[in-house]
Amino acid sequence: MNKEDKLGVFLASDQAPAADPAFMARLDHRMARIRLWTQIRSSAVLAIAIAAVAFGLNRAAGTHLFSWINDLVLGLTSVPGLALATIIVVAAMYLPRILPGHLKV
Amino acid sequence: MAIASDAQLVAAARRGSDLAFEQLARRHSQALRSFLRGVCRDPAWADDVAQDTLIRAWQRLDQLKDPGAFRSWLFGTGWRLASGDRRAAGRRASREQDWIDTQEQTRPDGISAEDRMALEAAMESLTPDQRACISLCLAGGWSHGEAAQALDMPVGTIKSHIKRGRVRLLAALGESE
Repeated sequence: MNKEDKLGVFLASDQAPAADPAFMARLDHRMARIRLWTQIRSSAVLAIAIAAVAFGLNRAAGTHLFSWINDLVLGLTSVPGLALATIIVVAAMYLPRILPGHLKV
Repeated sequence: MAIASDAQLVAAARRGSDLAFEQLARRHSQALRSFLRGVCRDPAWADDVAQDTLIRAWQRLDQLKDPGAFRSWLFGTGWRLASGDRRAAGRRASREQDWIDTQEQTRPDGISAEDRMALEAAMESLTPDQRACISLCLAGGWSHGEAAQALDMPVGTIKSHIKRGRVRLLAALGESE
């Protein structure tokens, strides 16, 4: 084998595998996490905007316009098991998508 | 069914099709990783850069002026990321064993360990620009024009890097004999 052939063999040894499911799965996972955070950010912006409008309406119309929300929240929180169940459900839905080491959204 | 071109897949990905981008990634990931392995001389590091490159390409697909030139643009992005990536020495050292293990598993047939070590040392001694040109044109079979477009260098510079790099690599083999 001459020098050129040896160099060719050496350069060919840098070749990555043709199919690498682990590499593609890692890429999919990163893309899914980015998509999720984008959704969360856009949802947060929307929620803040809605809250701001609601707050403004409440201020304009008097303090009793959304008093039924206060009553509802107070009613729900008065049941300890319901609040706990809500926290568990929300955590189960979102934590696996946010924490590293978990696959696709 | 006809295979979609890069330009068609880029257009679909720009419209929001993640499946189209996934196809692009599958199509080019092997060559991209091979190129970056040639530049970085560390498979784990090269794969990290390849991941970052594909993610950046996905996020900045709108900035691609010519959808047909996706491959050059992708490799250029990878090249810039690899050039700017100054990872901690500790991280690389911790992966040294992985690198050695990988080399043991993928040791090329036909050349002795001595030649391989001499070539590896010679590759390390090349400038990053020279390694990039060698990896694209000698190992990857790209034309000088394509490499010039991807690496944003004049064609003359590409040719010069390849010539000098090749001479040094062959000289390393001469010394090992």
